[in-house]
Amino acid sequence: MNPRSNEPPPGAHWTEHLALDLVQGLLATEAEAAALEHAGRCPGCEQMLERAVRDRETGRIAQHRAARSAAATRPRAMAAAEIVPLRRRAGSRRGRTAALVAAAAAAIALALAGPWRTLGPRAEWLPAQGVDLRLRGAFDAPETGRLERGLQTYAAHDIRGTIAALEGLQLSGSLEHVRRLYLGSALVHARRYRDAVAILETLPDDGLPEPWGDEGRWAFFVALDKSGDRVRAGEVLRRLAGEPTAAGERARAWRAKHGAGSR
Amino acid sequence: MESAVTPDSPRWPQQLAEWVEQLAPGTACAPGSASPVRERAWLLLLGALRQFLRLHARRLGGVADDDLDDLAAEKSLDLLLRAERGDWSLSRRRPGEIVNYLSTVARNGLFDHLREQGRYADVEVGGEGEGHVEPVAPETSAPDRAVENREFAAHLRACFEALDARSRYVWFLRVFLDLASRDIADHPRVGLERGHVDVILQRARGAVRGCMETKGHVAHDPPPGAFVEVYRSMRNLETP
Repeated sequence: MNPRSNEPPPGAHWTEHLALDLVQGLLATEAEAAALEHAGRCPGCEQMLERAVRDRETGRIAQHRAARSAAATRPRAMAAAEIVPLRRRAGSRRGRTAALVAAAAAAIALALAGPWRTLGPRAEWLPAQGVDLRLRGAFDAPETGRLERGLQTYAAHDIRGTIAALEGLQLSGSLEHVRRLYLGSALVHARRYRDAVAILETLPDDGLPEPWGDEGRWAFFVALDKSGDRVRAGEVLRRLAGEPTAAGERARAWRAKHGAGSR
Repeated sequence: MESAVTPDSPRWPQQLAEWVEQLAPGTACAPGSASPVRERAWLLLLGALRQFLRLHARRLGGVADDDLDDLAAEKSLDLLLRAERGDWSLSRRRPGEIVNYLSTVARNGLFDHLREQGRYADVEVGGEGEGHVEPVAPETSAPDRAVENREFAAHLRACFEALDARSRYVWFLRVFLDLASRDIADHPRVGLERGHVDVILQRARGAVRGCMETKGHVAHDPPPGAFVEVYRSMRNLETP
């Protein structure tokens, strides 16, 4: 490719393509100098540069966090991935190959999933199976049939289906708590954080057995954090970090990494 | 659709295509290993998708920046995983096709997000291509003001360059990019505890303010042109 092919004519306004080329270091020196010369006299073009630089630097930060996180957890993940096939086929070449493939897959997942995770607290999926069993027998009215449908679509990670089934439904007692919990979680996954807060904050503190109670609190924390209510998010996180559950462990890890506040 | 690289066509699509090919199975860049190609490809994909998402979101309105960041990260990781599995290839794709493809990925992701929020029951997808030119604010007009701004920017750059390299990064990331101390601390060129970042930042701010005062400038928001001037200096720090 001709390194001068993207040289803008003198005085030409920027496009965001040019901003991306420039921050990625893809322009020839003269083209870059000319583009910067223009941007220095054009506030709109300068803003484009600023946004592209910000994108690049926040991406680097996410990448750096992911690399550190992967370096800390990869040996454990790889060891775990190796153990299963090696036990099954001790000493066999095929088992060893399978182990290495599994280990590589684990490493890829860590390396690639990392950057996204580090951008903020991530919503987790609530356990759906147990609830289904506990509530069997209760689904005899049309309303509870919708709840069952909502739980089934939730188990299939069908966010829209879950919201369609559970929104606007009114139940009573513990079934209503279940509905709000799963609807709140689905709303978090749909990134409707304010709506999720409005639903999840109505759940009673001790209204749900574990692990649903603490997983619901984690979802509430994510919704608060993402909707910008960092003070309440920090409070929920602090309480959750004192619980001996998987969500509590997640909260402790988050606090250890990001401090006592939510972010 | 474009038929070839033209004087106006962007370079990043072709660069992305080259990197994506290097990530395919059976190439030297083994999946799971630390790879500068993967890192650079992800940064480029992320940057491109963020731009397209912003563009589409501006037209549709009401999408939080955090959500756009999440969507860009989600889509870029998905594409990278597919490239490593050999399910996504850009070989023999023209730059215009790559641009349109990523624009569509961003737009569809945004529509899905809006539909999940119940904001769009049925959104027309497809059609419009790249059309990727931003409305541009007018150039700074008054000649005397422009001269003042250029002088301020040049002095700011000189004061900035009097800082040590790490302080420059910390100051730049906060003052111009408005990043939080926690994020700055995790920048690969900074690598400090958050508390240490705050100390460095305070000192750097004081040093720049004092330096600017000696040149006859009082503290105020950087005028147009200042970002570009300081960025030029940052580029020198960046050169590998």
